[in-house]
Amino acid sequence: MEIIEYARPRSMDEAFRLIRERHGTAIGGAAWLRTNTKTMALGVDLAGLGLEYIREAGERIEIGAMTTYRELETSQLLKTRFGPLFEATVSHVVGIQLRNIITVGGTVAGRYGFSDLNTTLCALGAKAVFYPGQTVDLADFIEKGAETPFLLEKILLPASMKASYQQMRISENDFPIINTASAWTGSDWRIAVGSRPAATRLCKKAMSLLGDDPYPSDEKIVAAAHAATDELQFGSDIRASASYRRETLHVLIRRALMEVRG
Amino acid sequence: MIITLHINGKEESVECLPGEMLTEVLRRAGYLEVKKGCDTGNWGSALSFLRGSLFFPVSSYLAIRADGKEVTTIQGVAAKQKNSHSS
Repeated sequence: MEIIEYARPRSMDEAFRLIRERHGTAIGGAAWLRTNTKTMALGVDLAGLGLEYIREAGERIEIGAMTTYRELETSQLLKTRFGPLFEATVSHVVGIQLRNIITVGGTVAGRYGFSDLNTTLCALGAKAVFYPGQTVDLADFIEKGAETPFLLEKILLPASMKASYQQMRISENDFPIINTASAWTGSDWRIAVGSRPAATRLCKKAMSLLGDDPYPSDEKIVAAAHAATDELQFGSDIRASASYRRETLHVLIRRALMEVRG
Repeated sequence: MIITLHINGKEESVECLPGEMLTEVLRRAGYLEVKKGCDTGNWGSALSFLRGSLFFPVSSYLAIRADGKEVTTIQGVAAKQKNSHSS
């Protein structure tokens, strides 16, 4: 990618102004910039704004937009609250060297269809906080995007949750063919599916079918997997056909729900 | 624009474009041991250490972000190994 003008703002206010008033493009981890053939008129580098953190904030966990995948993968706080969930979610993403630069914010803002992380975040009911203070449901943002240029500041997670991430890949570090995450919130179930190959969506009918029972029967779990594969749209690409994705997803959803149910 | 890199212990001022990756800048500066195995950094053949311990794919790392940082190429690693064996 060619960048005509480069800016490194010293504050969130300055970054926001550059994006809103001068139509600047935020630069997160910049992991895919080389393979992008577009021209960026004004690149606004978010490095150095203090957006690299994973911390407790009241009854939530906050993850800064510039936090890297490797930091998610090795965070003791996340491991304590969510078990191996984040490690399972990002450890297949290329290699450690790239996970050292890929950021949470870049992934969420990009709303990539192939994303592993967006699926897990949607299942956890994450919120996205846009500077200077607009909080939106992350699953809604992934589905609809934003109407105006935005500056993603952080992601909010619940303090803890029992959840499972499942995926299928042709080879270890390729993009996923299909992925899913399930979570029990304490009052209901959430199921998200990504890499269809389109972006992550919640399976609302399947979630509704499971209701508020923390220990659904095997039959109910199979019914939820059917409901999820029926309510979503799947596409075909170089990695898999739509029907292969659908059949695989059925198995992955069952595994995820059974793992969370115990 | 001009950036300053501390490459294998040696300070170098090098010119780079805003969207240029570290691979091209290092190779232009004569550090030809830095190879570009692919365009994404997946293969790891273009690794360099930055900030001492974290390693990055220089083919996917904006050169401008390395301004003022220490960069260790594979030749730098070899030199350190040689020094540690000879001392």
